[in-house]
Amino acid sequence: MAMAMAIDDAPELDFSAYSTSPTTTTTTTTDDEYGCNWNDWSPVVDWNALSGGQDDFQDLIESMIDESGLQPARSGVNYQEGSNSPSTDTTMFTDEEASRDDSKGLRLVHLLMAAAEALTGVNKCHELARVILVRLKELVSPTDGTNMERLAAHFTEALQGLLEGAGGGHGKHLISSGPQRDDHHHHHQTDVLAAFQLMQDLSPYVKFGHFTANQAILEAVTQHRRVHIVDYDIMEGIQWASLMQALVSRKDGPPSPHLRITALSRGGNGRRSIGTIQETGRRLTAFAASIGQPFSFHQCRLDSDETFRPSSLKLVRGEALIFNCMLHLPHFCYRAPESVASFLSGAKTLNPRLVTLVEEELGPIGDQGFVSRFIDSLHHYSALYDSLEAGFPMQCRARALVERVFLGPRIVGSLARIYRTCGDKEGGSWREWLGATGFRPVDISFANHCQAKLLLGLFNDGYRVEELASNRLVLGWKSRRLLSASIWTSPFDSDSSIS
Amino acid sequence: MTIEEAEPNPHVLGWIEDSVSFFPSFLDDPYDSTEINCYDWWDPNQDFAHDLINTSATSITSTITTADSSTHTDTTPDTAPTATNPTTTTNHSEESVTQESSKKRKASLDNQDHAQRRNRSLSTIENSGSIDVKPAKPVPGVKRPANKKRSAVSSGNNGNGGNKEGRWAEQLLNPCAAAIAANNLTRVQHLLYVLHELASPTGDPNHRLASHGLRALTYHLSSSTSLPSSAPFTFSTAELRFFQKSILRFNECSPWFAFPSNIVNSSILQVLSEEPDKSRNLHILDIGVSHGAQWPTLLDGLSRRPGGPPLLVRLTVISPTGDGGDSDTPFSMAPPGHDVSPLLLGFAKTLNINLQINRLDNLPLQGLNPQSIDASPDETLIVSAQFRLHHLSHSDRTEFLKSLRALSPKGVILTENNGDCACSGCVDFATGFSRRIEYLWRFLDSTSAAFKGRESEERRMMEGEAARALTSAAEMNEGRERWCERMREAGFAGEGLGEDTVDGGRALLRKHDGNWEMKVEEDSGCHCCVSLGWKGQPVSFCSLWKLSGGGK
Repeated sequence: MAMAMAIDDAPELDFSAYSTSPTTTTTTTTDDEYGCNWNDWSPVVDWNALSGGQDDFQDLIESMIDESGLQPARSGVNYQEGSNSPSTDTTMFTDEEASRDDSKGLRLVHLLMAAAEALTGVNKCHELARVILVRLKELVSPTDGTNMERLAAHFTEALQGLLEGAGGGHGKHLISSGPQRDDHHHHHQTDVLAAFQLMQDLSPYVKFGHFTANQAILEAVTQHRRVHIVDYDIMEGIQWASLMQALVSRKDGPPSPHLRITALSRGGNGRRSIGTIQETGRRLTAFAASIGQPFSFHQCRLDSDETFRPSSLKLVRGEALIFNCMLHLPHFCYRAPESVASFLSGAKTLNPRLVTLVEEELGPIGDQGFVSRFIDSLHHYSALYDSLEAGFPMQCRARALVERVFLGPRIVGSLARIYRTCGDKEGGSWREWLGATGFRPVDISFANHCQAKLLLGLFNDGYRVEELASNRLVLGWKSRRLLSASIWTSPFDSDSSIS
Repeated sequence: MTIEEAEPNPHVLGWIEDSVSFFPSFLDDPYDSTEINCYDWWDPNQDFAHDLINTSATSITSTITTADSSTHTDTTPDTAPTATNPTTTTNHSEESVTQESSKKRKASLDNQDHAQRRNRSLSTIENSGSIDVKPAKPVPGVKRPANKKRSAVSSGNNGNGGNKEGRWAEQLLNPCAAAIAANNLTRVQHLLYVLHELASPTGDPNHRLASHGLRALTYHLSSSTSLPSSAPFTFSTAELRFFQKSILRFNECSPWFAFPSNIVNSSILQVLSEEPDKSRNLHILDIGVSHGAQWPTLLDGLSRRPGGPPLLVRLTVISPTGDGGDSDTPFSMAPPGHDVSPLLLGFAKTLNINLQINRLDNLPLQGLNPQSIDASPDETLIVSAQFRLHHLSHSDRTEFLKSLRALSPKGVILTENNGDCACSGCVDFATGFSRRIEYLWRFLDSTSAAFKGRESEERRMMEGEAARALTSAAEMNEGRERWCERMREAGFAGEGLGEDTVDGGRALLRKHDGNWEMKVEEDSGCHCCVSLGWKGQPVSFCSLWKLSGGGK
């Protein structure tokens, strides 16, 4: 359960902020180009002087995290009450007009933090939260303004839902909805498709997960005649098109193995917004036929509570069994942790050749409550917004579509889950869970790592890939880690085949 | 959607080719660029996405070279309107509120003419041409219609009740003061940002409190000795006529000062009535903040008492002194040139009262003695000290009260804020600040009710003046009990307030918001004190004293 909270929220990518470090400036762009400059604004006092120079948004947020953890201020500046504080600047009220635009993002962050605190903190005051949200709504719109303004609009909406749910009974909002309300539900199918297309073409989030997993699968099945992939959440199936292409084009290798894909299907709670599993199967089948890849497609239905039962899977002797678990990609729906756990536990009993896992990276979350998790979430999504803006600098409309269809609903759902569970003990990630359950890490190959780097090379300079463990690659934007891909194998030292 | 449709059609192919430039050749093995393109192979809605994607793909390439300018043009226009819009709208609504309120004010003044006779007589000061004197003392027996009272109660409960939950501004201000005390700059910074967003000098009482509190905190953080240039509207910066009008207006709509003044005047009449020689000269020592506004009522009362007014009524006004004096005390200062003497003298003349006014502008309180006030043994001296003595340091207080006793007054009426001290000698900064805020909250909240939520210049000035309590070093309040103790130490004994006095106060309160309440305190067996409260919280107290031990 603890783990539930760690993952269940959706944000998959996150990120980061605006770091203005000059070293990342390269031929094409500089960091400062997007969004506003967080640094050079001082509404009341000269904060840089006061706090020893927070030179970017991330530092600022981190310092706020420090603060909410009640740690002493990090500043070395001392001042005495009522006496001179050399660093303060009393001209604030007048100068501020000029820097208003630049400062707006920072003001929004402060307001959001304060609203989150008023909603849950020791000094909880719903009236204060209400007033702050009223102010925020005056300042932002989800479809207008800078990155931070649009992002803040979604966070504002999320908090408003929490406030109404918490305040009094009209829980028409997120809080009362079950494990999730469907993220994509309310959008027109064509919007969803277009947004998905944009997302995957203009940011590496989707491809990073797919490519890293696929490369690991390719390397693991070179000697196998039959490969069986059990896919936890197949969505539109795009991952497998590229795998097939790679299989048939292997040089000097054996003939392409027979590929069987079993897609887990859910009861009719309506989350197949990118086409049904049947459609996905038909497309994959047709595509396989068009390139000469031997292929078969199956479905395996989850229980009504989305529990996976290994016995419901049809297995064939001698096939290499792969469990593929993509979580938290930007366009994915929320999956309850119990369901994910049943899938991974089930995998353990079936002794798979490989388990490929992609999940979001969360910030360091200690035992703090809602506020620090809220801030982490804000940090996460601001990174995501920044990276998308870097990818779509001029395309307000395109970006707006992605934000409206995928990110906005995700933020709302994610905060509702954090709010509901903020009393729980925080768990770790699924990769920690896998390790603790006995799965063994499988090294990421050099080629796989290079491939990830090359993939990112196609996008903005701000993306980074790190190898944080021998079996794990992490995709980040600037200094914020977003998405983690890790590769595992069965705890048992068996040789891949099922007897 | 069928599988056949999923095959790339020429249109889609065209798009794929267009986008090839965006996908440079990739790893040869196992992926290559064709493979990446296959990601798009089945999209049946290609047409829909085509425009968007096409634009983005091409412009990305072009943006890369000109990223600098393009991003800026992209974002700047977006932010500018959003940032300025709120300001414009706020101004708008302010204007309309002001206009509306001035209309309504006129109407309500008309209504009040009938209801508030006492105040009507005060307003004659303004138009001293026409004197229209009505009975000054409210008639105790008159009950106001019940529905009036109910509506007053409900208007006072509009959203920001006495419960702490509704008082959100304090949830930011007090933690901010605590963070300042703890030297937690990050937290201070955060809270100042938030306050800055929510503060408004014209919103509801919470917004106003945030605005004044923010100013005070900023002042505290800065080393400068003067308030920021945008200092609020206060008494000493007001225009003379406006100031006088505002004082009267405030006394009409709020009992904050009107109630104590009423008790003081009734008490003076009470003391006089107990004196055997009805024609003896009366000498009133005014150490107060009423700026003359309370005296017409007294004069009226004097003219109506059995046996007529005293032969001579002397009014000695002790003005606050400047540097090091009590000018720092809220409500004590008047604009330069303020002098009600001519008006009072003219008014007294119409009542056939022989009035003499002596203003002592440079006499520190500590310098009081029979000579300095030109006291004479054959007059009845009565001292009225209102909201001024708390500027004296705690240690000087009893001494000062003893010096008052040395004047051998027939009565002393002491009115003070009823609260705990906020000075730096008594409590730490955060505690003191929260007490000041608490005081200001009651003022702002009750004043909002008094003005029925409407904005006006008068209201702004009164509130700006009250807010000086946040930064004044002279805010050294004490609770009622402590003051009473000091009075006894100085040689005074509590004198029971007369029934008329108490009834008069009660009648006055009935005209105001239902959240006001008064309570006659019973200590040491006598009813020498009456407390005024707002929403169950103490505001001020009035007490009547005579010399103890045969001083009569």
